Amino acid sequence: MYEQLPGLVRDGTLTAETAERLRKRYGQPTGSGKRWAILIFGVLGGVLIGAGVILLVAHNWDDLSRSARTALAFAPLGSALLLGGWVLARRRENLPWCEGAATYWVLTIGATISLVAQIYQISGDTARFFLTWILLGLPVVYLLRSSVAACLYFIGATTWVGCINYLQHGISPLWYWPLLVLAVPRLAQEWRSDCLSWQATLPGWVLAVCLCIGAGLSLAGAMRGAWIGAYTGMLAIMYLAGMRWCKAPSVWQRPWQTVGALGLGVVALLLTYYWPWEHVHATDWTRLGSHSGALITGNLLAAVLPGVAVVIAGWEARQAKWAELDRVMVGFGPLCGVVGYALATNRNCGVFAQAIFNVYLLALGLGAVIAGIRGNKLGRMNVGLLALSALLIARFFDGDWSFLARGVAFILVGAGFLITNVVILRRKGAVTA
Amino acid sequence: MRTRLILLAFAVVAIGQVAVPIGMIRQREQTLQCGRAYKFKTAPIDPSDPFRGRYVWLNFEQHCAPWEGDKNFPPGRPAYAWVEVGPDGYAVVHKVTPAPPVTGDFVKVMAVYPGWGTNAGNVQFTLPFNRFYLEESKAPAAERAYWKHSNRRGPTYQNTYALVRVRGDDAALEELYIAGKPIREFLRETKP
Repeated sequence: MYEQLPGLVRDGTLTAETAERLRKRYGQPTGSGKRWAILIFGVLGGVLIGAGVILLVAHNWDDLSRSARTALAFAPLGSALLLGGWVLARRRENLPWCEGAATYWVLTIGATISLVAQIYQISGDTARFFLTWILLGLPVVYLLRSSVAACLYFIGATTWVGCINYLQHGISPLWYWPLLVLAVPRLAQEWRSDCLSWQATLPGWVLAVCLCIGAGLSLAGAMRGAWIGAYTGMLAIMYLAGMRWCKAPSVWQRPWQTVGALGLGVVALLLTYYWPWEHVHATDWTRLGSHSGALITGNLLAAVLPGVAVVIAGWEARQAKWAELDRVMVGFGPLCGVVGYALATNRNCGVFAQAIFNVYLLALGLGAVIAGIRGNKLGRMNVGLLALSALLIARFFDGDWSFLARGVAFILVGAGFLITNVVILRRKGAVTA
Repeated sequence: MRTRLILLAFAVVAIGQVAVPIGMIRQREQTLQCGRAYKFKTAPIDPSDPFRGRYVWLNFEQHCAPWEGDKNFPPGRPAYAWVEVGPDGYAVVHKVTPAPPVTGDFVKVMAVYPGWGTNAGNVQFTLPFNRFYLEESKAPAAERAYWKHSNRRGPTYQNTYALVRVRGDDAALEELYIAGKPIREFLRETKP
C-alpha cells in the first residue's frame, strides 16, 4: 500500500491529505519481510539448538562421574532459564526473541528430565515423561506469549494421550481435554487481537490436527462407536465456528474450516462402509463397573459434541442463503451420526446407518457444489465434486452396480467437473467465449 | 509493577522446573544410598530411546510368581512384588499382590496376565527397571556380552545379574554385572 500511495496521489485517486492520513493511521512500514526472516531464524535457531541438546543427551558420557553428569544435565535448562529471564526483562516486546527463547526453553525441559532419567537409570514410562514435560513447559507459553511453544504443548498433549494406558497409569485419557483447555486462553488472546495473524493461525492448524488425532484416543474407555458422534460433532463445530468467527481470504488462514470440512468428509466416507457399524452394540453398557467414570464421561462427550453442533447449525440455518448451504449440510453430519449410532445399537441396523451416510455424503457434496455455484466459489464447488467422486469411487469397489451404471455415473460426475468449472470461470471473466 | 509480577512468575516457574529433576535425583540418591541391595538374575536386547539414547533391555529370569488377588484382573494393571533374598543370594519374588505389603521390601510391577495350566494361580509380571542406559558405542558390545553370559548353559551364568536397590516404593537399578564384574569394567577388560 505504501508503494502505491504516490501513484494514487499522482493520478488523482487520493488527495495528498488522505494519503498522509493513511500513513498516520497505519504508521511507518516496518519491513515485514525482514521481520519474518528474523522470526523464522529465531524459532529455527531455538529448534536446532534444542534438538542438538537432545541429541547430546542421547549420547551418554560414561567417563564422567555421576555427579559431574548430573551437573551437566542441568546445563540446557539453566541456559534456557537465563535466556528466558533476560528476554522477559529486556526483550519482552520482541517477537522473534520471545519465540526463539520459548522454543529453546520448552525443548530443554525435556532434555534435562531425559538426562537425569538416563544418569539415574530411571526406566519410567513415556506417558508420564510427556505429561511432566508439557506441564512444566506450559507456563513458558504464557510468560513469553509464544505461539510455537503453544504448538509444542498441543503436540505433547496429543503424544501423551497416545501413550496413556488407563489400567497401567490409573489416569483416564479423557484428561486430554482439560489439558488442551489449559493452553486455550493463550490462543484466545491471539484470536481476539487478530485471528488472521500467523500467531493465531499456526496454533490453530496444530490444534485442529491434534484434535483429529487425540479425540479418538481420548475416547479409549468409552463405548465402541462413541467416536462416530464425537468426530462428526467436533469436526462440524470446527467448520461452523471457523466460518462464523474467522472469515479469512486464504486457505492458510482458515485452519478450522479446512480441517473441519476435510475431516468431516473423510469420516462421512468411512461411515458409508459397513465395518464402522458392525461392532456397535448397546450391550457395552454392561461394562459399567470399575471404569464407569471413563465410560460415562466418554459417552457424554460423544453425545454433547454432536448436540452442540446441531444446535449451532440450526441457528445458522435460519439465516442461511443458498450460497451458504454447505453450513446447513455440515450440521446434518452429527445428526446423521447420532441417528445412525442409535439405529446400530438399539436395533442392530448397521445397514440403515450405512445407507444414511451414503445419502448424507451425496447431499454434502451436492450442497457444496450448489453453494460454490451460487457464491461463485470455485474451490468450494470443486470440494463438493471431490466428495461426490470419493463416494462414487468407494461404491465402485464395493457395490453391486452394473458396469454400465458405474460408467454412466463416472461420466456424469466428470462432465459435472468440467461444465461447472467452465461456467464459474466464465462468470469470473477468466475465460472468454 | 507488571514487569515485577512477570519476573516473579518467572522465578516461580524456574524453581518448579528445576525442582522436578532435583526431586527425581533426590529420591534415587536416597534409594541408592539407603536401599537394600537385591541381585536380580537377567536375560537382554539392545534398542534405543529417541530421548535417552542407547540402552540394554533387561529380561529377568523370574517373571512369574503366585498371585494373591482377583483372578480376572485386567492385563497391564499395577501390582506389588514381595521380594526377599533367596538361599543362593539372588532376589526372589515370592508373591504378587494388588496392594503393597505393610512390612518387608516390595517392587511395584506391572501384572501382565494370569498364568494357566500348570502355572495356574501365578501371575506373569514385568519389573520396572528393564533398561540399562549406556554410552552409544558401548551398548551393542554390552548387549552381545549380556546375551553370551546370560546363557543358562554358559559357565558365567551364575554371575550375571542386575543390582537393584529397593527402598519403599522406589527401586533403583544400580549396576549390571556380567560374569561378576560391572558391565563397563567387563567391557574394558574384554575389549579386543
